[in-house]
Amino acid sequence: MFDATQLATLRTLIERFIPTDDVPGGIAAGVDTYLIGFLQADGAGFVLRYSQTLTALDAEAQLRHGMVFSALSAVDADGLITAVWNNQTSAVWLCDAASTLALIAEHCAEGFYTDPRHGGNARGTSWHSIGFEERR
Amino acid sequence: MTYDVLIVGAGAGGGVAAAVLAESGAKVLLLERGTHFTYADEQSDHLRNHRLSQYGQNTGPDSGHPRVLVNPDGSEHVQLPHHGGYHNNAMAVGSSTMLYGGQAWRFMPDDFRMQTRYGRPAGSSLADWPITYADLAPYYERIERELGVAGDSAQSAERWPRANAYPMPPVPLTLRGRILADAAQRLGWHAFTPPLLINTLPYQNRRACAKCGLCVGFACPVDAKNGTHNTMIPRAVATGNCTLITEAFVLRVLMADAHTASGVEYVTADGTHHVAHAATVIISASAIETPRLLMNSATSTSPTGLGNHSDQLGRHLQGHVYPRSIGLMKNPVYDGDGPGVSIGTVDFNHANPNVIGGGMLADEFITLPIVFWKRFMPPEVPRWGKAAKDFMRYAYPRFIDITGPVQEIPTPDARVTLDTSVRDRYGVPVARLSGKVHPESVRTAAYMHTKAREWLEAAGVERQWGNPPNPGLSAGQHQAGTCRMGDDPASSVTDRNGKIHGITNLYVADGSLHVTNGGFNPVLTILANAYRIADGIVARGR
Ligand SMILES: Cc1cc2nc3c(=O)[nH]c(=O)nc-3n(C[C@H](O)[C@H](O)[C@H](O)COP(=O)(O)OP(=O)(O)OC[C@H]3O[C@@H](n4cnc5c(N)ncnc54)[C@H](O)[C@@H]3O)c2cc1C
Ligand code: SF4
Repeated sequence: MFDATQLATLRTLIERFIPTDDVPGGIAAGVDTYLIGFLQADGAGFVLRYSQTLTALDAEAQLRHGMVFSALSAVDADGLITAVWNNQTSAVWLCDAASTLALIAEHCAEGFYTDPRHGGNARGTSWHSIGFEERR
Repeated sequence: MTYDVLIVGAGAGGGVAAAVLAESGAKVLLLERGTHFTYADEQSDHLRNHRLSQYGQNTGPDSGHPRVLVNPDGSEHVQLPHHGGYHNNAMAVGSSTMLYGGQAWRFMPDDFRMQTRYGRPAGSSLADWPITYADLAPYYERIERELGVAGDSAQSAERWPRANAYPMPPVPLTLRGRILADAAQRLGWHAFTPPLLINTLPYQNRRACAKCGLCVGFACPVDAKNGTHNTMIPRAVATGNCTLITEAFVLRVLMADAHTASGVEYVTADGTHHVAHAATVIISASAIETPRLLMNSATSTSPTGLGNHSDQLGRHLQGHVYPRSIGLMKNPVYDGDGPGVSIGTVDFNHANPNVIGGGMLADEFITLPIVFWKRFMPPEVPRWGKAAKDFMRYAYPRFIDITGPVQEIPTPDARVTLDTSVRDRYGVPVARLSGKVHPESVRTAAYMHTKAREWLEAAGVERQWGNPPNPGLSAGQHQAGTCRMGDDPASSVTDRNGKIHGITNLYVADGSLHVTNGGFNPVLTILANAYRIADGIVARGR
């Protein structure tokens, strides 16, 4: 579905969207696994937009910092995301940049905050952090 | 074989009618397009349930059963069952009653005489019911006892004339409920625990609620939620008089002549078509599918559908507009005890200054974390990064939200018709939904929103957010009104007995009959009215 560079970009994006602090972040919770599964099933219609976005994010990183997105520091990656989210783009985007980032952020939240069996909320990480319990 | 009674749809209305008729000795055929969905089939999927059907549902029609939604701007969209614009209810034995929240409100006496009390606003079809609260009261009692409602009998008796106490005490106040009870007292409001179709004690050989964290939208892990699936339908089948066939989709009502129904044609999961005959036919397919079925049963003498003699069939589609305010307390207020609803007020259902009707306000069922993320985060909080993660951690344990159903002012333009181009997997024209809520409903909702804010303010929230609602069409899980009852055939589809005007043996028994939908969740009224209608059929000797 994605090449190795795109996958690295996706994993970096997930970790910036749900960063690690005293609670595990998106990657430790398995949001990458969740998204891949999702994009092969109910999310199949989004694959092209994801692919275009991951490529464009790398191009933005190259233009601004001379390196791929996954090599950026957290601060630089966050700065780039903020700019793109505000439609301040320099690279060629084949899809709407801001709304696609918002969409991917929402998909990440869907992995992180829903039931662990989907693979994006390993050991109920996010639920423990907010205090939610299913009790069933 | 010819049955005495054939019922289409084993949901709220159909389930009750089946029990009452089968217990009277009638041979009943109950046809349901869904399956026996149980907790064992329940995946507790936070993205595919009846609270958040992002990518699907735990039970519901498949994509072979679309609908068409016409937006107020005239644009049209094909809707799949999990899309918001589909206005879905569940599809199973018991329908939504096996996964609902079970709020079990009676309508108030004035809810049955809205036109008398408020007049008829321009562009609306506000009208009185042909029956009164007193006509329904005995049936409310029976439903409360026979399905099992837990409630505050003393508080209820102050507002609704009632003969007997609820069979079970109310659910205990949650931590949020205690805070809101104190706040209501400071405001001089009356607040009490909403009645729920949930066992607070072991009842009818089933267990008490285990206070799990997923109630509304999901099947119950301990079978403590009372719907028709675990009360009336098993009762009907236990008589030996009721044959329940699941995965049986009814295509049309068959007519012997212009005034007599003879049965239905239905298709089973294997694609086989069947015909079943009955002396009496009752449609309980819910307020969108019931008019659709009646329209798809058109004959040369009823060319636009059975019961559409005065162009009323499918009109007055309504649900409930829900104003909501969300506030943040300084300290955590979440105790995790399901179902979560534990306090409400009915002080604003009527007698409000300069608005028509009103509504009930209450705290909410436990909110799924992803629902909080998608719907409850304030607009200025970023949807990504540390700020979003921190906000979830801070706000989820501290938020309180107040919401509730506002009585809608019906309009004839909000309606179900048949789509001329889109068909379901069996080739049957699908429901086409169009229109929007009446401006008076929006005004009442805005008023109720100020009351929700006042309550949260008194509770001591540090801040609150949420705008008053202004939706397009309203129907959804509380859909009602499309086969309104009335004494005058010129302005109604059925008579006060639920019988379609001009047809001797064809009835409706579901939310479609509601002339108005109260400022309350509707199911207790749907259940009680179905009991009354079935009782009437028995009393008149079928
Ligand atoms: C998640 C959720 C929560 C809710 N919470 C509450 C609450 O707390 N309090 C409250 O008062 N109400 C609540 N409701 C609403 C309540 O469940 C409905 O108002 C009620 O079930 C409607 O009753 P009905 O008889 O009109 O239709 P339904 O109960 O929907 O029954 C219709 C049945 O007919 C079947 N059917 C339809 N077409 C056909 C056909 N052609 N052939 C065969 N079968 C057919 C359907 O599959 C369904 O089983 C909730 C609903 C949902 C979904
Ligand atoms: S909260 Fe109680 S009634 Fe509701 S599903 Fe959980 S155990 Fe059942």
